[in-house]
Amino acid sequence: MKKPIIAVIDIGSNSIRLQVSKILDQSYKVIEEHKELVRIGDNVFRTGEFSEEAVDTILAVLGRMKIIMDNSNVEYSRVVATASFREAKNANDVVKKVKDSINLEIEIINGTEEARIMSVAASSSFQMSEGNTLIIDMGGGSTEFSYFVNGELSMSETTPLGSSKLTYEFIKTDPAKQDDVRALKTFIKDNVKPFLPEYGVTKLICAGGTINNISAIYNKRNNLSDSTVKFVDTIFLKHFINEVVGKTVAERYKISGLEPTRADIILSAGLLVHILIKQYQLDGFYTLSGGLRVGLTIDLMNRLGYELFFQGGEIDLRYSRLIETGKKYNFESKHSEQVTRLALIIFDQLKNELKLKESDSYLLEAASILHDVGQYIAYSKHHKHSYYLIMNSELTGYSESDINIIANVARYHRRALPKNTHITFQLLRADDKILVSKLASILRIADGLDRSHASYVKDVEISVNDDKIEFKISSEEDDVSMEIAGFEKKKDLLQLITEKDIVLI
Amino acid sequence: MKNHLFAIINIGASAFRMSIMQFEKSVPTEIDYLIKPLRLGVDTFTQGYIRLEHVKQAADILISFQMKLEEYKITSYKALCTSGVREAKNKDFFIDYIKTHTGIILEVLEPSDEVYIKYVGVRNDVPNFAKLEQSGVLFANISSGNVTLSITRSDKVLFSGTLPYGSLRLRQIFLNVPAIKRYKAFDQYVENMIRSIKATVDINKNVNHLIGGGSSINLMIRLFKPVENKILKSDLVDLYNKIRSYSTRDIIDELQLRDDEAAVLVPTLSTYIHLLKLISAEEFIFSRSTFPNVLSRFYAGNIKDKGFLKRVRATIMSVAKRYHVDTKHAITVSKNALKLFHKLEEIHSLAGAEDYVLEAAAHLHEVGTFIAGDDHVAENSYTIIRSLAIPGISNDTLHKIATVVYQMLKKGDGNDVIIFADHSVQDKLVINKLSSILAIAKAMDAGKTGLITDFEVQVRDNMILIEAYSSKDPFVELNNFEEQKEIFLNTFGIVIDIRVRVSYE
Repeated sequence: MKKPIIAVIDIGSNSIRLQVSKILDQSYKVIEEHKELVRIGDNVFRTGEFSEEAVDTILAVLGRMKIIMDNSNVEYSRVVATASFREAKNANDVVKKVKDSINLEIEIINGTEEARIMSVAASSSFQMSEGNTLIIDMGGGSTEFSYFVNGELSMSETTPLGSSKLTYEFIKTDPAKQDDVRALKTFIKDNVKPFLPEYGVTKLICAGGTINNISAIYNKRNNLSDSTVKFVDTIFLKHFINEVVGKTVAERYKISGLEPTRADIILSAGLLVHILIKQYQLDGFYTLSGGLRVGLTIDLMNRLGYELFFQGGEIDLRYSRLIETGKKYNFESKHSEQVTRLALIIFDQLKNELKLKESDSYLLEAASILHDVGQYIAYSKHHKHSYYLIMNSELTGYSESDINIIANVARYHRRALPKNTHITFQLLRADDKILVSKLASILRIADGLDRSHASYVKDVEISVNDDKIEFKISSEEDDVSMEIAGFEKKKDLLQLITEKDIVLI
Repeated sequence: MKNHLFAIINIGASAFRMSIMQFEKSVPTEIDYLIKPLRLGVDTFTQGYIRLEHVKQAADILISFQMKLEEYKITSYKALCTSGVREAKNKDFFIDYIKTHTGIILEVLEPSDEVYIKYVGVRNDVPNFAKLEQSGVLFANISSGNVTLSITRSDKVLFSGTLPYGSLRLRQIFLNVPAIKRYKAFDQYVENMIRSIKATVDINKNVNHLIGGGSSINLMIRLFKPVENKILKSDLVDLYNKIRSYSTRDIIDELQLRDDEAAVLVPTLSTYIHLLKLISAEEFIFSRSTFPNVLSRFYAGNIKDKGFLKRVRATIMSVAKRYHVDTKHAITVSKNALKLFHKLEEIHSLAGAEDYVLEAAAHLHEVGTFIAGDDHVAENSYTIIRSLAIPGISNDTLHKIATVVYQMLKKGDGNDVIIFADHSVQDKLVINKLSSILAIAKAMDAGKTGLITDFEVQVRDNMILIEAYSSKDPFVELNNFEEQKEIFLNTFGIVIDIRVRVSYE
């Protein structure tokens, strides 16, 4: 049966966003996105209602979006409005006008529903069942807080801490006066204190265009690639606030990557996040782009009876995203599982010799599962294809630098050994180069030990001596000559790193 | 090439061959054929380089070939190397040494060219090939270094590649495995190749005939002495079961073969048997033409490839589907692009043949979105297109197609990167022109809904005006057209604009 095309529209205080998606098997593909920065909430926060100009803007933008939806043959849609509509006295009139003239049904959702939708979005990229996660979605008019303890929602709260609203209420001069900034910070702290946990938050996930703009600037300065999930460290945020606070709005335009329409409100967004990071002594915060739209799309799919791959009960999101990525590139799952199993067996027995941390096994596991995905592009040089396919994959639970390591380990699973002349290797930090070499040395042997792709090797026992490392394999097969040849061919890197003879006995 | 002598020197992994052809009224006759065994592949496939001793022997052989050329007073010839030289780390040294010591300029045949020439050769030589192709043909050219495979069905190339499973290569890999069980290693290794094919093509429904070619055929003919150009699987299996555990010495004694032939017999038989099992066939058809013979006729323009363009088009479209491209959109963009190309001939002054690059670029321009739909689409599309192996399309042409796509997706800003720097000045200009046309063509279907059903092009003194016909307001298309206008202006120095006539007007 042909799967439908769906659309969601998120009417925020600063922007209106449309996302059109095609439903696939247990996932979806965004086929059209459209965003217009509108700042329709500005007047609401000043006067309590939408100005005539704002109403015209809403009608014009939604009219254009309706054309895109019709042209894309959208069958199901959901249009939601948040803080500015909740607060505007004339919101219902606007909803009626939109219905009458464009035939779109706007649903004004309350803060709790907004928090729930955000948590749906977050669960597609984070293992919510691990630790205590605070999600904030900062819009122009309000900020929604939701708190999850081991995946269970324990609190959800809507606050008037929107970036535009805070700016209008507290920042009266350009540049901002120190006293005003201080008052703003006090206001934020007073507002969050009654409902936020005093301590115990282990992860902070932020959504909203203005906070996302901060993470985009961070990524740009650090030459990191664009991804749905970004991590911004605390030190950067502190420096960024200091950089912005003394500048006029016009001066902020010159900051590379800063969206001009957010130049005035970015300070209040930064301050809110910084207060939270400080309170919970976190190293930084995550941003989730597409936040509410992602949640709305998934929620609409669920309403239509479609379940996504990560919604199948108690699953390890990190592992299932790896498998999902492998499947996307038609990986040979049996070989991939065997290589991963062998790699982890070898890791366990060599981690002391190679001075590896237990957590490094997660990187090796990912590289082992995905080492052959490059074959989807071409068999020839497939290790190089695996590198960029992994670099372009969003792997839940792995940071940007983790993915860089995983991609390099997979790249070195065959052929040339790591070299500084290889550009992709050059880009790694010195420590990571060593780690890549160590993990790749294990992956090469694990791959060699399944050269027949028949999972003949059942177990590996390793004994480390002063001048040699002995491998003993067990198998129920009489003939494992392919595996032996594979081992001999691929022991080179381990031999080089350890400066010991690598022997199969 | 009428009434003319032409020679081909082919440097393979196990022997040097020269074919001298006489073309009388375009009818080719092989008047001399020389073969000198020298197993460069033994060096290349085991050590990675050709030993100096063998470089010198190669020069001696080529001097003797040159004497033969002088004897026939042949000035028109080509000397081509395949995997034995192509994969050697010191191939540049080898080529330079031969040039210095013999005056013969060697060219390295790229794998994609090798597979294409072999394919068109066998297409010409095997009776009813086109008919067989309707129900699916697996053409396998088993030589010492590689197995060249081409799977075609109904004018579409389903798979094409040169895989490192040649008989001499297999022999070298498992040289250390005792002869008595070496065949098991060959079998397992060939099964790997079968898995690679199966991962790409649904063989069961698509392929019914196996056609063999390559240096292995002569050996098969001598062993089985077939009356027709067919060899039965049962004969192959009987011989294989009899000799699979024999040492090379035993095979020589039993079958009266040369040493080099005996050494590769078991892997050759194993490969044919596995390929026949793959397609559930009981026999394979073969062509008696040697590779040098095919090369001579190909380079002398004596081999015609009927249906080439149709096949390339179908192949490109199947590649697009593999990468989940919206084919309806791709076809619309392609139609728009070709119409613009022909209407703007006076301005772009490009040769008609370039429209084939434009058409391919239009069909493939979104392949990169399969990897990730973000800022890296240009790089990803470029890399995928460059990695393609489409028989009959040279690497240079694929590079040009890839760069047109890259440049279009980068909105003309790709001039400084290495990708673009690889092209000649002339090619850069062609790429800029084609990418500008493609950008406009794509903009006219930016919403991917085919709203713009047709258009006229008016070339005026100071601008180009596109008058487009649409059934609804093409909001996304107009928006995108505005964004793409600049690339066109920067290339051609003339403004391009669009006016839309909506059918309800």
